[in-house]
Amino acid sequence: MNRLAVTAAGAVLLASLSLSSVIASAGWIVTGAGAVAVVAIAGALTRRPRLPAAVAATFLVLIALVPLLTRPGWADRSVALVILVITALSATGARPLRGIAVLASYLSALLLYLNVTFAHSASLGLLIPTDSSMSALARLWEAAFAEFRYAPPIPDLQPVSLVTAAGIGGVAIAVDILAVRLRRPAVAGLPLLLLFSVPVASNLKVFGFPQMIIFAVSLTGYLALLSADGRERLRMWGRLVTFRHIQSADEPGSGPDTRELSASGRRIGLAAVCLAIVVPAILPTVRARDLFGAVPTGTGHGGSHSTGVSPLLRVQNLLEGKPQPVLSYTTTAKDPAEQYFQVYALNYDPRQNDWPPPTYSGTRAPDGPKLPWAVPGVLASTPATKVTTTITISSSDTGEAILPMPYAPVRLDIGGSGWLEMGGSLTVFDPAVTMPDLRYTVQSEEVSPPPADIPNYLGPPASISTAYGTYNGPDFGQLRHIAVEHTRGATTELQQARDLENWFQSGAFTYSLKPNLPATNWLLSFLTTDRRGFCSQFAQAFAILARTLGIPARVAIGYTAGTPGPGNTWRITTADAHAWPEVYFAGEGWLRFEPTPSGSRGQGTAEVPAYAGGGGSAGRQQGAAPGDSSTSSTGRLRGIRGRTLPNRDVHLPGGGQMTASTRHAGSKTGFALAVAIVLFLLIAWPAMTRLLTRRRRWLTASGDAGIAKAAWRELTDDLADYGLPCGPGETPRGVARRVAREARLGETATAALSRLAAAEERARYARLPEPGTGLKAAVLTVRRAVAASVPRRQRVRARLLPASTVLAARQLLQRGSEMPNWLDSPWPTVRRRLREATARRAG
Amino acid sequence: MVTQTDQQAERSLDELVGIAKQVSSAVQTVISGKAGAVRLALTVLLAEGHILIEDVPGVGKTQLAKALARSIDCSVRRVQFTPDLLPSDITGVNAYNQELREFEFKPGPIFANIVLGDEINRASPKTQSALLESMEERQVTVDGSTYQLEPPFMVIATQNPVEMEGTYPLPEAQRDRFMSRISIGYPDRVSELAMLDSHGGGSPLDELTPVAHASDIRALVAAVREVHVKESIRRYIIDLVNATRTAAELRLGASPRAALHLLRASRAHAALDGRDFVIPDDVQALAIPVLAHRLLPSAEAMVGRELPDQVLSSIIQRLALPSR
Repeated sequence: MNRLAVTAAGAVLLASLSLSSVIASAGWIVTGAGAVAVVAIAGALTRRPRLPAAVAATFLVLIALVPLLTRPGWADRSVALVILVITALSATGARPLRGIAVLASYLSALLLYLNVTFAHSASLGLLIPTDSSMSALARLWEAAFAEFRYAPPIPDLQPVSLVTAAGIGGVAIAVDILAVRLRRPAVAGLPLLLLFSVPVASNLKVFGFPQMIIFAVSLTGYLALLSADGRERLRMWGRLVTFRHIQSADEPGSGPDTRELSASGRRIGLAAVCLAIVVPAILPTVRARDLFGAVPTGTGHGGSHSTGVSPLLRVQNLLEGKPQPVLSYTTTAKDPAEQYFQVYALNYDPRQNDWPPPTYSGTRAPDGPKLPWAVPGVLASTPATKVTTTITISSSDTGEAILPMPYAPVRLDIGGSGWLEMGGSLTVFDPAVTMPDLRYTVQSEEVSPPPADIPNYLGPPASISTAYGTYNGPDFGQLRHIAVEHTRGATTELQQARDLENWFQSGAFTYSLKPNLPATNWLLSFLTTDRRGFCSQFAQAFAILARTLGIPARVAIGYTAGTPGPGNTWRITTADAHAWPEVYFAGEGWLRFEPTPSGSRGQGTAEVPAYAGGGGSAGRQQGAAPGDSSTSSTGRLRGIRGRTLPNRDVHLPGGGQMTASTRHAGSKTGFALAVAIVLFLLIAWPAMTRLLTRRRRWLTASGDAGIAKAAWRELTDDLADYGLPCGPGETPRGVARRVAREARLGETATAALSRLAAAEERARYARLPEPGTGLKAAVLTVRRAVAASVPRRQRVRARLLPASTVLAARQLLQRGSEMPNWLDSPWPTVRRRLREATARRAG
Repeated sequence: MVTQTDQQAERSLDELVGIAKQVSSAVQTVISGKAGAVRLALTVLLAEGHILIEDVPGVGKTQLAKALARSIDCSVRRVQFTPDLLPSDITGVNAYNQELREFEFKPGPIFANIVLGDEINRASPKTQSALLESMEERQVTVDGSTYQLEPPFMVIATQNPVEMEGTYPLPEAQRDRFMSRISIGYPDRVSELAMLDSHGGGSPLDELTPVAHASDIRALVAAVREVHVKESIRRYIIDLVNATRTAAELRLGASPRAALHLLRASRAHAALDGRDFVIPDDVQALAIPVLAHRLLPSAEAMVGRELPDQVLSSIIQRLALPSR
């Protein structure tokens, strides 16, 4: 095995270290290293001479194909036989055959390794795979993907180890083929990148010092691979010999001159670093982590994982992305538009000051197949409408297998037996099932009492009020003050909740998917000053305000009713993803409210439920009218029996919409002025610089030589401005000759130009300079003549954007970009010193 | 304020320009339409160098040399180089004088003011090196006695680059001793027509009368030495020569001797312009004639048909001028 192959294997091994932040414990490293070693050995076998390589490949493939060959039926057997024959025929050296044989031997070796490591008990003689060992591997494989659903770090279980080893082995195959076989080690970085990207692609948001160290260590493998390839290449060519210049030992800098090359390399590096800093700073991204807090990670012992992505963040991602179909359904509901599809509900966690994803702890299997469930808080006597909904999940949804269902589901018809319910929350999931093309029927109870029927004398049970009815987060006092302020006069909890809803819906808040809220204490700023947000903010704000009033509230995540399609079918897309608050009423259970504005200026398909003041179908027509939120909210208010609340939200104390918009306008003018000034300065800067340079030049010039020099500098700058720049090696008389010819100067101007050139020449090279009288006038003459000879556009450009100042700026930039070259300067000195020291010792 | 020495320098410079112009126009009566080549030859004469004329046969190599020699009233000797020519055929021999009963030195053709070595590449390397030694040292040593060569002394060697069979092309080390290489090139249409007219009857060379004396030339050479060269120009020359050493297109750069030659030739060039100081234009104008024949292109440049001339002109273009 050559050095390059070993380096490639090492690089894969080091790169796979980056997985350590995703997978808990370290057992997988050993199996991964084994896979890399097996692949490296297989690679070495394929690089043997033709005949031995073919024999080895045939042997490997034969063993690996045993399960196929022993299977009844001709289809599998013939496929296996064809592969086997191709591998054997590769001994003839035919190119495509060899290619297939090489690939087959890599894959066979990896398969055999995985079989021996993970399914040896079902294998023949612990080594040869059988049908049963293969299906054992397949089972493990599937089980692993169920694990991956959870937030990292994933426990290092056998299934996870299998997939990790297979993945590392696959990358090792790609790297071995690219780096060793095809001699393209730079390209081999791509499969390695795959390993690096795993932690990035996961929702692991931890990136601290250990990760940095791991990344750096992982990267050294790739760098070593590149350098090993470079050395290998040199060895193939032998030493580079030049007879141009034999250098003696004391001469500095032996070897070819690569300074230019390394300088441009450093320049590229500098530019890359600058880009890497600037681009993310410019891109308008919401720092989601700051908005919603970090995603809590599971403990890694199975049984109590949390779902991966922060649910509220996921809603935002879905809303921001291109709408994708999620599901379609038919329903028997009276008003389908009011029927939301809940996926799960969140509770506030004061320790994190956030709404963490639900934990799967305390899961229970349904009491029987598709059994009726008791809906928490709903009394048997509560009137409820039974609604049957048949749901088909679209194939493009690959999300978590948590079923979106209308609340409250009481009966579920679905295939499979592994469905679990999450701790009495009516959230149903199955970690072993993937979502696409699931089809199920849900029977739900729509508790939709008329508003007056919701009693307020029955308090919620203690378990609910402790879990959902309190708020221990920051700014309690201020939040409660706001809540009380906007629910003044309400006598029931329902009325309080409605008042809050009305306030949010009143137009004082603007719907925006790009809320510009501070990372900490965003809630207070959302409620008082910023007042821009989308469903997540509205739902959280509503729920927390309700809690400060002692009303149990939670945030539900799911979808709105979507849009009606052809026939009876309704369709839900990712644009209908939604978060809404639910309030607990004794005897009614959890009832949803809708603080988020709807329609074209809000969440398109959001609907205020009838009991909370929604106007049903008629009100919807009104409410959905764009820009007409005040009308619709008035309509809703009227729907509440026995009370006519004034639309007081317009006269909000403490700065409502008006104040905000005025302030906004004021800052806008200031901003525009600042932009105008900056623009003016930017535009005027080159011309002003040019004028100042000219003035300074003539003022500081002294003596005949000084005046000649100033005159010549001025002239060359003028020429550059008018598009006739001077080359670095152009002599004064050369410039004079060329300009006279190109600008077709008249006699006077040509004479003036020659005079300037002669003066500069004498000043620079003769013993004594010429008298400097009249040189300033000569410069003016030449400038006028040159200006007259160029097109108008060029003249204007020379005035506004003189090239001479631009050139100076460019030179400055160039010098800046050469700054990294200073790194170079100490090296020759250090090397010389070392050489001298060794020579002294030898001497 | 003009000093006495300045006045002298001015006078001799004016004189120099006059004489040089006379010589130049005299030579041009023989070689028409080749003012550049003639001027270059004069420059080298005043800079105390030697010329290598490399060109195809029949373009007037020998004519140029002869005309230059004849327009100055000085001794001219011509040596036709052949494979059997011996070193002593050039330097001279010690012959036994029967009457005086002692050895007497018979000077060879090298003892002249202008020596024309025709087809120098036909002679054996031994003979070539004998000539080149005396060129460099301006003296001849025969049997232990050293004989000084009279100034002005200039060797004009010609070489035919096309017909190379059975010849000994000058090695790099020998080419380096020539201050400048001149390629005359074919004349343009008008000049060629004029040549047919003037050379049709008799040779205009025969009608050429000297317009300057060897002593004039010696005075002029002395004047050229006085031409002022600023520090920045010297640095420019060094930069230029260094650039040929580091250029990727060149396998062999210019030697320190080349830098010296370039400086001297620049002085003469400035003087011929009537200037008592050297400007970068002088250096640039002479860079190719003085440096190009000493450079060897790299293999890549040879494949790309990039001649040292082109490399040099691109170096001149790119190399920044010396600031004061």
